[in-house]
Amino acid sequence: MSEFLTFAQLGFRHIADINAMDHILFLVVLAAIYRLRDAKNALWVVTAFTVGHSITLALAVTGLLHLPTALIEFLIPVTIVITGIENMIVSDRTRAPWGGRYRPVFAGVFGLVHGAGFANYLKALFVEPIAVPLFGFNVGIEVGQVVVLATVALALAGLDRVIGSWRPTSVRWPALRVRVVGVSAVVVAVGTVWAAQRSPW
Amino acid sequence: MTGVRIARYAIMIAATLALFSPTRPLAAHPLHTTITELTEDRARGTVRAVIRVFADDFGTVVARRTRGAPISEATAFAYVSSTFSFTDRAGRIVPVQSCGMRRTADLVWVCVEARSPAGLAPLSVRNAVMCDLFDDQVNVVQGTVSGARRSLLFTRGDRAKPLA
Repeated sequence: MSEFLTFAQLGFRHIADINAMDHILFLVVLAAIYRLRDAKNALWVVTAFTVGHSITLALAVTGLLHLPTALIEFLIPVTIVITGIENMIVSDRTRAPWGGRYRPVFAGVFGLVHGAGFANYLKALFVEPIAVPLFGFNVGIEVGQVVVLATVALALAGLDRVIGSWRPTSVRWPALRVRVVGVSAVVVAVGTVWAAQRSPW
Repeated sequence: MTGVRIARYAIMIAATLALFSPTRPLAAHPLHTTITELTEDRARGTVRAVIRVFADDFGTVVARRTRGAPISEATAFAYVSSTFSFTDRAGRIVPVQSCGMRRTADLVWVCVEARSPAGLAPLSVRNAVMCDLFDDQVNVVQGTVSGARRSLLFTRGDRAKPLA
């Protein structure tokens, strides 16, 4: 097998593994506000996340950026919590600042934090020359993210059906809003526990 | 946003927190990987494997095998020689010996060496280092074999794989 494919597999396994819950949960909470028909918007947000984490991954692994591991491990669940809270607070995205178009920007910024999380492990293991392993690992991560997102999108569509058929008439929120708030609340709760456990203070 | 709505969200989050709080501590997302570089020394008729492994995990697995002994060249070699092996074309294990160990900030570098006058090409390799500790362990083995860069990936349960 080529070096590129080996490291692509390593990246894919790293993101598509159930133990990768922090990154999977971030993808879940990013995707929580979208329906299958909003795939284009979701793709923009995930692309911004990808660009963000690719930048810090490259900078940190090549030694151009030094980041404290404990702080990064703490900030990863913080990004999850902030995204979840934003999901719950903004009920009408057309009336949100910039028509809600700021979301790719913060996905990109939070991507910087997640990329630093990967990099803290990789920079210890990789030795020169790192270009091919780094590129392969990143491609594997991206492919893994697409697989995770597709799975999440299908699960959310299924959840919408369940909510649509079981929602009591007393609940005035539309099914999508119930889903967004419900999923985000769970993710925020888990993210808060992680942040508390990983707090460097 | 109304106060009622905020209170509703707070109750939801608190209830979910209560639901998740008894679960085991949720650790950071670790990378359970080792990277091994293979080289050959035709003049001496030997091949060498340098295995890079995270020191904290390696300390755990060595302590488990040795009932608490710290990492030393002897304990590291004892563990690695039981989980990493070269085999020849006939499927026989090629004996390895230690060629040293060193520690850097987060890593332990373990070196093992075997006799192989024909270099890496006729050998197969198996790398189950740390697979007894982690279900999701992935070991990368790399080397230049007959002039071409080769890369192999091992997970728990994998058998020996040919290098050429």
